[in-house]
Amino acid sequence: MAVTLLPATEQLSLLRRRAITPLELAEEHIAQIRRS
Amino acid sequence: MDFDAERVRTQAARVRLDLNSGPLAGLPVTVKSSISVAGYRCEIGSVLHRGNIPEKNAVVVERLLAAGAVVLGTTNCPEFLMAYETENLLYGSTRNPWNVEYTAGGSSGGEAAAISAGMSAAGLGSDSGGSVREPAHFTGICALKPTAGRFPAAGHLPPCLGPFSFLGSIGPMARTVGDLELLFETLSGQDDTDPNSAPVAHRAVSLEEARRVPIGWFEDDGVVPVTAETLAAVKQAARALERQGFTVKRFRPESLEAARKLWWVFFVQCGAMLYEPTIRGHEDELSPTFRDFLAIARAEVPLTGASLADFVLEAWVESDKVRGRLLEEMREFPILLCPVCSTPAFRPFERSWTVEGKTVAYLDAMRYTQWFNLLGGPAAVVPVSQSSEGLPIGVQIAGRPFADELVLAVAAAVESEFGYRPPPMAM
Repeated sequence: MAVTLLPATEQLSLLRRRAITPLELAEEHIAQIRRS
Repeated sequence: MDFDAERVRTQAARVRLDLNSGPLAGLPVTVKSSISVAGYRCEIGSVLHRGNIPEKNAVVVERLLAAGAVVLGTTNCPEFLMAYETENLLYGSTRNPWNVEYTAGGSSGGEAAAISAGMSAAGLGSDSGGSVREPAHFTGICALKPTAGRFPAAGHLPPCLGPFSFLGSIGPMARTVGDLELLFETLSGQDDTDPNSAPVAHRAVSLEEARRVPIGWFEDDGVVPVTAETLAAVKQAARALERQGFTVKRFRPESLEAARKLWWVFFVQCGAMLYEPTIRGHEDELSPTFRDFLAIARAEVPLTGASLADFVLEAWVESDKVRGRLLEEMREFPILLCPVCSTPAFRPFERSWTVEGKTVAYLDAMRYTQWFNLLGGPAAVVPVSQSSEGLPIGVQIAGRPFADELVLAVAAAVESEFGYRPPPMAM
């Protein structure tokens, strides 16, 4: 599943584990906003 | 959505993830455009507020930012928040990510659509008659209308004053109950800027503790029917709770209809009265949905002077009596499980439906959320099933005032057997 569709708690877990940076996560959401 | 990619990038680049990070550090969120976010449009869907950009954040937005969240922008809502669909003359209609022929609901419809479609991880809406719960039900996400006062309302437009201080609440919206719990814990708490905010500390409720609380469930209110699929969803949720060891029995409070009638006085009649000074001389600039609302409100006998004062005072006194009766009735079953609405999402501008052979009018279909605004207690929505058209159907879990954490614990138990699924267009 795309990261933007994960629960907020799982997105926070990815951030804390440094599996994704805040900027990368923001970019994923920006892309999803532009697609929708 | 009022959205500026560069501003989002700047915020995200500033987030530091370390031991001192807030609980929402780096989380992209959205906020309904009736809740002030400095530098973003807060137009409450009205051309009369076109270009309104607050300089100051609402208290809950300050708390979001202090917790490290990245605000993506503000989301669409119907004019003056007075509709169960999201349409206005500024930005048009917000449609449902499950099927764009249908509404995302209202008034927090922009927020619900954004979260359902993965444009935002979570966010804030507001609810004086079902405005976080109906859109959540329509779009297949979760939402909580907290007890009035658990979230400070300062910075909400229109201000949550007078009857709206107990009818209305800012509330979290998200794809899971765990996300609602996180937002609730992070954002709730008293603030002196809101005289109605309550000094009640957050208290986690375990599944074991929640299981000891009897749950009363009902499939309809005996006045306005719900679709067979809606009824089935409530039954499925009741069975799921039973399987998990909850005590679940059929129970429907008798005071619901009295509560709905009083909600109508405060939300519809007093709501229209409160907007009169704003709209006077601007009626030709109003949206079709707000005109609809005014037509409904003005169909009542207009009251002025002493008769108006008597009418409002009488309703105020009566509402305390009815709330007291409801609380007494809920002693045996402090948690209620019931539908959110008579139907799943509807097509924009539809104003009645045939449900189980009966004609159900627009505001009557939404009565299932209105009772709990009059009570002032918490009520959550969790997605459980889908209609034959493929539209989400949620159920509602309501509790006594200040039992927000208990309501969320029961909602989490329901969610463990059902829950959010992404709409096809988001994949």
